[in-house]
Amino acid sequence: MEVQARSNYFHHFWNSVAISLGSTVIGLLIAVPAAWAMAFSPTKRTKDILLWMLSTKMLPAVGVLVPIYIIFRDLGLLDTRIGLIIIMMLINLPIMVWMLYTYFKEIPGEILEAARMDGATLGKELVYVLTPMAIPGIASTLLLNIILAWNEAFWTLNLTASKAAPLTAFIASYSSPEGLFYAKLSAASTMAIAPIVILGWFSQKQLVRGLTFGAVK
Amino acid sequence: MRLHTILLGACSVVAFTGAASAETLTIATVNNGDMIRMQKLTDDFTAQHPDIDLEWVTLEENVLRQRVTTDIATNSGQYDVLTIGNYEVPIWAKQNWLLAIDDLPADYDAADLLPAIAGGLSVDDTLYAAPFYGESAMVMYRTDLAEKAGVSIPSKPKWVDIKKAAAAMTDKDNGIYGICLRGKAGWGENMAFLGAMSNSYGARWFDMDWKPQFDTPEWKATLTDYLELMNNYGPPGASSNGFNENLALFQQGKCGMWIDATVAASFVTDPDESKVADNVGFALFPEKGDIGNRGNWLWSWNLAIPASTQKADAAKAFVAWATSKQYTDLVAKQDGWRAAPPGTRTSLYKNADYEKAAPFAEMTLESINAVDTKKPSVQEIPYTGAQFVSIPEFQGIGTAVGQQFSSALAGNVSADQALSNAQQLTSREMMKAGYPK
Amino acid sequence: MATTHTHSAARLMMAPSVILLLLWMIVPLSMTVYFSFLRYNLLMPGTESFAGFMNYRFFLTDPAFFQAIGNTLILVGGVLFATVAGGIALALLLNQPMFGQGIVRILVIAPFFVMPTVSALVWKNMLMNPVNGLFASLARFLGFQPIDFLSSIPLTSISLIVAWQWLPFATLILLTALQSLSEEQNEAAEMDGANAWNRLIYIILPHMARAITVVVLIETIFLLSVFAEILVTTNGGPGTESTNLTYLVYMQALLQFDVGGASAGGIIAVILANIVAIFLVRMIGKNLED
Repeated sequence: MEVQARSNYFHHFWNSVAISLGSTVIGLLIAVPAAWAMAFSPTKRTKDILLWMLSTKMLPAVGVLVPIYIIFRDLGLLDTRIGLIIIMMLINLPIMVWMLYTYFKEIPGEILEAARMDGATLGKELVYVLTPMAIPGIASTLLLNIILAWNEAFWTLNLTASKAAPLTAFIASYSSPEGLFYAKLSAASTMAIAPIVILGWFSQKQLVRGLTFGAVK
Repeated sequence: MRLHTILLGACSVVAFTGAASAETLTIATVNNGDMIRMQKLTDDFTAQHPDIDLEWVTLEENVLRQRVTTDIATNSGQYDVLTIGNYEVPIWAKQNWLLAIDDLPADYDAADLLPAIAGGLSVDDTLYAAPFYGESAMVMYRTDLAEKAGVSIPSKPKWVDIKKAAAAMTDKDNGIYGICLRGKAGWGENMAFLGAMSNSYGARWFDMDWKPQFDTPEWKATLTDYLELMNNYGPPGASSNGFNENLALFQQGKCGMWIDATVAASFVTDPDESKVADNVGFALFPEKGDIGNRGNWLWSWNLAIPASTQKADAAKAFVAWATSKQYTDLVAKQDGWRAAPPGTRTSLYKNADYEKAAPFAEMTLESINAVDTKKPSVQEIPYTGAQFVSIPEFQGIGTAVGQQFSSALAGNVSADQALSNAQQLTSREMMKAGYPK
Repeated sequence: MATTHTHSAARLMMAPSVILLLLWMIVPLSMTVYFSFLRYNLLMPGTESFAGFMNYRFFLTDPAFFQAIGNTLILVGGVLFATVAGGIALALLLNQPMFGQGIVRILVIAPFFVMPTVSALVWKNMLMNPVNGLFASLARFLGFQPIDFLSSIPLTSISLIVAWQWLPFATLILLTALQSLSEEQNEAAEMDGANAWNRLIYIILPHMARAITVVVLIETIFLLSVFAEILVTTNGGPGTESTNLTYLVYMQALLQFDVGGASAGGIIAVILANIVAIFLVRMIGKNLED
C-alpha cells in the first residue's frame, strides 16, 4: 500500500500508544488521589485550587515553545518518548483532576458516612466502597485523555524528530503537499484514527453501562 | 488480527533498534512528490554506502520550517541533513549555521548547476546548500479555451495580453474562470505571486533607507490590476486559494489561465491527475509595458547540512548523491523522464529524452534563467531576494501584508486601505527590528 | 464529616498534582516573563539585549490586537453556545432507547477522534469550497448562489468547524450526567403530570448544571487557544478577520521567530485568559459548590 511505503506506520503507532497510554496512566495515578481529596474533604480553598489548575493551561503553547525546547534540549529529552509522556501528562493533568472531581462529586456522601460508622479506615473506604463506584468516572477520564493525547499535534510535532514521533507526525507528512492527494491523506488519517475509534467502540459499552451508577442515589 | 498487528509492530521495533550499529543520518524533508520519490530510491544510496542508515522526518512545509528553524537556532542538533528553501539558505549561512558544500566528488560537476539557482544558494561564492529542484513562475493556459474564445497568448506576454485573454475565456455560467491566482494570505502564498507581480510592475519593497514602499504608484497599480483581474475573471472564494487549491481548480478544468510555479506544469500535464492534460500551453511570466522585468520568481528546495551535525562526511555523501546527475538518471530509469527533478542542472535541459517527455521544459528553463536574485526589482534596493526579500523579518511581514491584500480581494477593504495598512504595519515591524541597520 | 485526619491525608493526596503543576507553571512562565523583556530573535543569535517594555508596547499597539481579542471572544462564545445547546439536545436524544444505539453513539462521538488539522482540511476543501465543495453543490442544486464561507464569513465558518469538533465532548459529558439522573425522579415528575418541557426545565437541566459548568470551563480553556483550524483554513484572514490571540502570538513566535515579542504576547494572553476565567467563575461558579 502506497501510504504504508512512505514511513514506518507501526513505529509511529507504537509511539502514539506509548505516549498516550503512558501519560494517561501516570496522570491518573497523580490525579485520582487529588480529585478524591477535593471531592471528599473539600476545604475553602478547594475551588480556588481547581481553578488555578485549569489556569495553568492558559499559556498559549506557541508562546512557550522556545523555553520548553531549550529546557528539553538541556535535559536531553528532545525526541524521546519519556519527554513527550511528561509533557502530555502535564498538559492534561488539570483536565483529569477536573473530570474526576466532577464524577467523584456525584458519589453520594451518605455511603461514605455509613462506611465510616461501620469503622472502615480510609484505605478500606477507598478499596471496598468507593473504588467500584468511581470506576466509570475513571474509565471515561482515561478514554478522553487517551484521545486528547493521541490527537495532540503541537508538542508532539515540535519536540520530536524521528525516534519518538507519533502518528501526528505521520499525518503531518500527508497534509497539504503540492497537489491535493486526498486519497492518500484520507487513507493515512483513517489509519491514524482507526485504533482510537476501535478503542472508543470497545470502551463505550463498558463506559455507558458503568455511567448509570447514579441510580443508587 | 490483533496478535498479528502486535507481532508486526514488535518486528518493526526490533528492526529499528537492531540497525543502531551503523551511522544513522536523520534527514528532515518536505512532503512534496519529488522528495517522497527520493525516499523510495534510497536503496541505491545504501547499496553504495552500506555503513550509513537513513532516518526520515517528512513534514508538511510550514511544520517543517518551524521545526528545523527552532532546532538549528537553539543548536539542538537533531538533524544531519535539512531540506530548506532558497529564502533560508543565505540568511542561515551568514549565521554560520550551515556547513559549506565543498569537496564534492569529481563527477558531481557543480558547474552544471543553473547559475540563477546556484547564485541564490551562495554567500561570497561559496555554496551552502545543494539544489534538489528549482522553479520559477510562468503562465499556464488552456489552449482549447483560448482557441474557442479566439485569443492567442504570446509566449512572452504582457499584462494587457493576460487581461484580454482572461476576459475572453471567462464563462462563469459554465464554471470557467478566465484566471486563477493565489489569494490565500501568507508570505509563501499570495505574497509570492504578488511579490513577483510587483517586481514586474517596477515596484520595490523597501527604498535604500529600508522605508516600505506601499505608498508608491507602482504598488498601487499592482494591487489595483490584481484585484480587477480577480474580481472580474477569477473564481469565487479566491482569497482562500493557495497553490494547492488553484492546482485542483486547474486540473478540473475550471481555470482558463493560471500563473504560478513552474513545477505545477508537470502536475497539470499528468494525464492521471489532470482532466486537461492535453490542452495546456505555457508562456513566460508577464511583464508590464517595457519595464523589462518578468517577476524574478525563484524558489528551490535544497539539501543543507547544519553545522551542529556530528556526521558531516556521511551527510555530505548523501547530499551529493541526492542532487547528482546519477540521481536524475535513476529517477528517469524508474519513473520516466517527466519525473526528473526539474530546474537545477543545465545538462537536464540539453537531454533530448527529457525535452521530448516534458513539453514544459524549455519554458521552465527560460523562466529560471531570466531571474536575477541580486536585483529582483528594477529600482535601487538594499536587499537581495526574488518574490521575497532576503531578511529574517520577511516571513512575518510578508504574511501580515498578505493578510491585508487577501482582505482586499475578499472585498472587505479597498485597495487604498489595504496598501496604507500594509505600509503602516511594515514600518512598525521594521522599526521594532531596529532598521535601518 | 471532615476531620483533621482526613484533612492531612487530603493534603498529602493533592500534593503531587499541585507540586507538578506548580513547577509546570512557574518554570516556563518565569522564562517567558524574562524573555518578554528581551530583544530576542531566534534568527539573529547574539543580539539579545534588555528591551524594557518594548515588546509589550508593540504587541498592545498592534492594529490587529483588539480585533484579535474580539475574535477570540466571539469564537469561544459561539462555539460554547453551539456545543452546550447541541450537546444537551444530543444527550437527550441518545439517552432514549433506540435501534442501533451503540453505532449512533460512536458516530456522534467520532469527530472528536479526528485530528484538528485533518478535519479542518476536509471542511475547507470538501465541504466549504465555493467551487468544488459539497455545500456549494447543494446550493446550486437548490438554485441558490453558493456562499463563499471562508472569505465572506470566516469567523463563523471556523466556529462551525470547531463546534463540530467539540460537540462530541459536550455530548459525552452531558450524557453521562443525564444517565445519573434517577429514573424514579423522572417518573415521579411524570406522575405529577409535568410535561416534557417542564421536566427539562425543572429537573433535567438543574441536574446537569455541574456537568454544563465543567463543559464550559474545559472547553473555554481549549477554545482560547484554537490555532490549527485557523492556520489550515484562512491563515487568520481575510485581513485579520479570523485572527485570534493565539494566532497573533503564532505570527510572532513561528513566523518572525521573535521570542521576545511572542513571550510578551503569551503573557498578555495569559492575563486576558485569566480575566475571562474570573468572569466565567463569577457567572457559573456557584454550580461548583454543593
